[in-house]
Amino acid sequence: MEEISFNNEHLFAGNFGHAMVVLAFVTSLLGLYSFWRANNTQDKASERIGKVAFGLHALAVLGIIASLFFIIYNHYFEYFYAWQHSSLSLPTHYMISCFWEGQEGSFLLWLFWQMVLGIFIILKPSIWRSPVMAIIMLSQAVLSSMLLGISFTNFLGIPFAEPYVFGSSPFQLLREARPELLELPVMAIRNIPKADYLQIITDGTGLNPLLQNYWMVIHPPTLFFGFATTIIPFAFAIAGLWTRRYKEWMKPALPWALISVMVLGTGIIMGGIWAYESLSFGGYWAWDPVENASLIPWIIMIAGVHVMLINRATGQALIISYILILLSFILVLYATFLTRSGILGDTSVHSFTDLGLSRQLLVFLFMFVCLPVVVSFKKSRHRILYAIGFFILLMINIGVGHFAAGINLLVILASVVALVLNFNANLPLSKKEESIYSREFWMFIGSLVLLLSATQVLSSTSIPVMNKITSSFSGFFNWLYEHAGHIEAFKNMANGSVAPPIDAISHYNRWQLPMAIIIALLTGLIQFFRYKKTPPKLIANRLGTIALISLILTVGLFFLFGLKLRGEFMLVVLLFSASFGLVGNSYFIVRALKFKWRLAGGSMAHIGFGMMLIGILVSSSRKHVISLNERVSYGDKFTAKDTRENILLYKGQTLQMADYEVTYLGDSTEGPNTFYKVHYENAKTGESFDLFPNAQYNPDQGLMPNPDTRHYLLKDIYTHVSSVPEFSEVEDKWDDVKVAKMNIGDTILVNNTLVVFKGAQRVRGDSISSDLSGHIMDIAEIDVIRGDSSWKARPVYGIKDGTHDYNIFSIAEKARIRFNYFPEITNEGVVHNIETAIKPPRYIIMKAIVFPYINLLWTGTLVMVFGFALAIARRRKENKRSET
Amino acid sequence: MKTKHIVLLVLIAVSIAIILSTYTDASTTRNFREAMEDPGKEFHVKTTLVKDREIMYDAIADPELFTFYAMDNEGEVRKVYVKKEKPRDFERVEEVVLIGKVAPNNEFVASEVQAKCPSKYENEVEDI
Repeated sequence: MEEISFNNEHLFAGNFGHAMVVLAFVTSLLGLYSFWRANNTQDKASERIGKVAFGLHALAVLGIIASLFFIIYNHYFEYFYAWQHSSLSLPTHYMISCFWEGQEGSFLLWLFWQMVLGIFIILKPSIWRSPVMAIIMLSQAVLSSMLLGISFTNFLGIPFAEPYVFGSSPFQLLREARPELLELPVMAIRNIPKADYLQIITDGTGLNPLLQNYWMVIHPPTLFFGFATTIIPFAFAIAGLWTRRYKEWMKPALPWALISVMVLGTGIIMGGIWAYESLSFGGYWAWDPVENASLIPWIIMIAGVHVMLINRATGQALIISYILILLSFILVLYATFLTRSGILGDTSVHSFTDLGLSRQLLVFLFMFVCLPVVVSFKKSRHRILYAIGFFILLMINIGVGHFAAGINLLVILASVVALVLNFNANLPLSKKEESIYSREFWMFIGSLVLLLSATQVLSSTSIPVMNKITSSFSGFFNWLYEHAGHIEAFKNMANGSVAPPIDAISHYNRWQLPMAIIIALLTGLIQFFRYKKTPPKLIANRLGTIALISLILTVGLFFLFGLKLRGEFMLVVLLFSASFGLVGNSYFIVRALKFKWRLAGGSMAHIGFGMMLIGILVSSSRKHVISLNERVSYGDKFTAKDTRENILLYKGQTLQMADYEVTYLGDSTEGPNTFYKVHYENAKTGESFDLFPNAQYNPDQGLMPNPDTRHYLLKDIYTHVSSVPEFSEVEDKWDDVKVAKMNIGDTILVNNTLVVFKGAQRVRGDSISSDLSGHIMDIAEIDVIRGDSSWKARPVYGIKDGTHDYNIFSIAEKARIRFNYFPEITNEGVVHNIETAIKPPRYIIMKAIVFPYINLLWTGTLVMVFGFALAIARRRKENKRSET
Repeated sequence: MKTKHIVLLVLIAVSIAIILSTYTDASTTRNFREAMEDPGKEFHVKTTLVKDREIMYDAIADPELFTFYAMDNEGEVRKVYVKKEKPRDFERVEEVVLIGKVAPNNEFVASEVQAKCPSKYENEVEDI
């Protein structure tokens, strides 16, 4: 094949960026090796090399980011990433969002945050520096390898059927990603040589409009920062096993775990706010697999923090601390695998398609599952043996695609068994039994409930993964189906045709609601217990007071929210337990801590959690659609209970909607957005306001509505358009064309409007203008009357040089009627044919929802995050004090 | 028996219940023929949109009803009623996952449709 030298490409930026990726990968491997050696040999020189490698690595990561930004900023659409995720019209402040629209950019972001966290570790001299840095560098190597985009055509001389691409480079050229581009017919038609293909690439395909939103600029980086932070407690736990300092790792790891909880929690909730403010599913949480995937590691990390606190105070709960902290990071990797491998497929509205990285992602997930098991062996010989065994299984796994899911499961089970056995053999476990009158006992129970809550979310989110696993054992499940009472689930498991629950919300709530009740109760309860042992009498005394106050609060809120005992009993119980948590923790701050805020982090976080629960409880159970459609009947296809929650609003028409009279006043366009002005007026209070729900038209995703919300202290009124007529429909479409023969003085009814034919007159063209000489115009006089208003229409029938040549229509704009006039000369005289056509009215189909007390949720979130921050400060200070 | 063991037993029992409930609450992916066997029960059906048959939606008559024809993986084509406003540009959709049931009159009534648009850039290259 001939080499083409392409014109006008800016190859330097991409080559530089790619070189930086390679440098980042190589330096992370060098760093991994050096820190590993430094830890094993206590060799200062190795540690120094490691530090230099990290420094270079950090520069390389910044170099990658700089090149990618340079490419996007300068609109170098010869690069696939820039072409796919940006466009000429993209404002500069959204260019940064391009980084997280694409997968490569998200990995880059993650790489960046872990690098930043590495700086904090490397700057602090401690015995933990080398082992922790080694783990971070391993993770950096893994992440930077995802950006390599190096293609292999053979393995040790054995050629592959098709080249295997390792990683996906953000610096891939458009013509490499889409080689068919050079063969497009348009190139031949416009006679453009292949070397000048950039002439047809004038603009990028643009950033997804959903990401062009304020919250989308801050939510993904925060979430990825949260994901990145989970590596640090993980690295400390691994380092603890590796260096056999089995307990000591927890002290430095605790503040990091708290940071992780704070940042990840903030990121998740920002996602909820984004969904509420700019997605139109009418809520902040939908139990979507992508949301769940980030929730699971967060819950596990919270449980992890609690068991670490138990260990700090009593020396108990060592194994579970290991398990939860290790699990949290592994679940972050699992979440990445779920969302980025395409396995979620049809089960999520915002799942990603496979970029060809799924196998690589799976291998890395397994590497990090294997890592803790390797270091949990005490003897080096066993460590190596296990690692080799695992590696061989992994290779088999990659080789045979078909049984892979089954082998994966077996490998994981074997690893878990090995880990538990090793823990039992090696860890210095306390044999003491916890008293049920101790704080640690109830904290432990709470952590287990959190673990169960995460397990439940994980189990239901993993249905597509379980399908892969169970269908690889289809023989077994088919046998079960035949021999165990023909239970349909077994057949579905054999076929891999298990689908997510139809009513996901109630499926999750059935489990999460009782667990939330227990957790909220426990947050209040543990404040009355001391570590080790508390006199039962003391507990009973205080408990009575708190329970009474909580009960009073519950009754008050019960009536305020209008809850019902029957049918909503569980919600009432949740209300009580959340109140109990709130009151118990407030009491603790007042009486036990005497407002020493430095110590109040945990209690504050618990208070925030209680407020959030109450906020969620009331805003979701008392959320009500006010745009109820009572106009249309739907026939027998739909049962009466199918709610109808959208109303059709014609432009200018006023409809009563709950307490409000709403009017759709018109629309305006601003950039890619069309804003629909909806006027709300409350006749009772005299209050009135306008909302501007908007929608963006995107050729790929169709209409993408963004809601607009009226915020009050105690409620929100949330409005979005569900559907609007096509643009062309509104502008050019005329419906219901009819022709009527009319005599002078006749009246007909068109579109609820009276149309009166007053007569016609013939005008000679030259009497109007010399240009029109030779023209004869028959002009009809029509009066259009609706109510008190009337308009005139004058359609023209034009004759030139004795034959009919043209018509000039006349539109009665307000009545939305178009007239044409066709006189016809017959034996009986002139017949006046009046043609009428109706313009379809402008309309929007709109949904409006009231969310009561949603501010409780947001305030609770802030209080909780503030509580985490206090806790971080406290634990850091304690660690510092114990060091000096 | 120690408290520890009781806690462990409860933990295992609840975990098993959780996994069981995942499967008892789960829906099933079926095709039209299989869905017909259980009228009134909701299923997931993976289909492709039949492009040469009409997609009907009259916002003025009923803003929350549209119909289209879908073909399942066995090639069976059925008319589908969706009790929702029609997503604009539904015409461009390729794959549609229907979540719904067979009504007594043998029509498929979907309470939800999850549409998959053809991927972003492939189109773009065609459009140039």
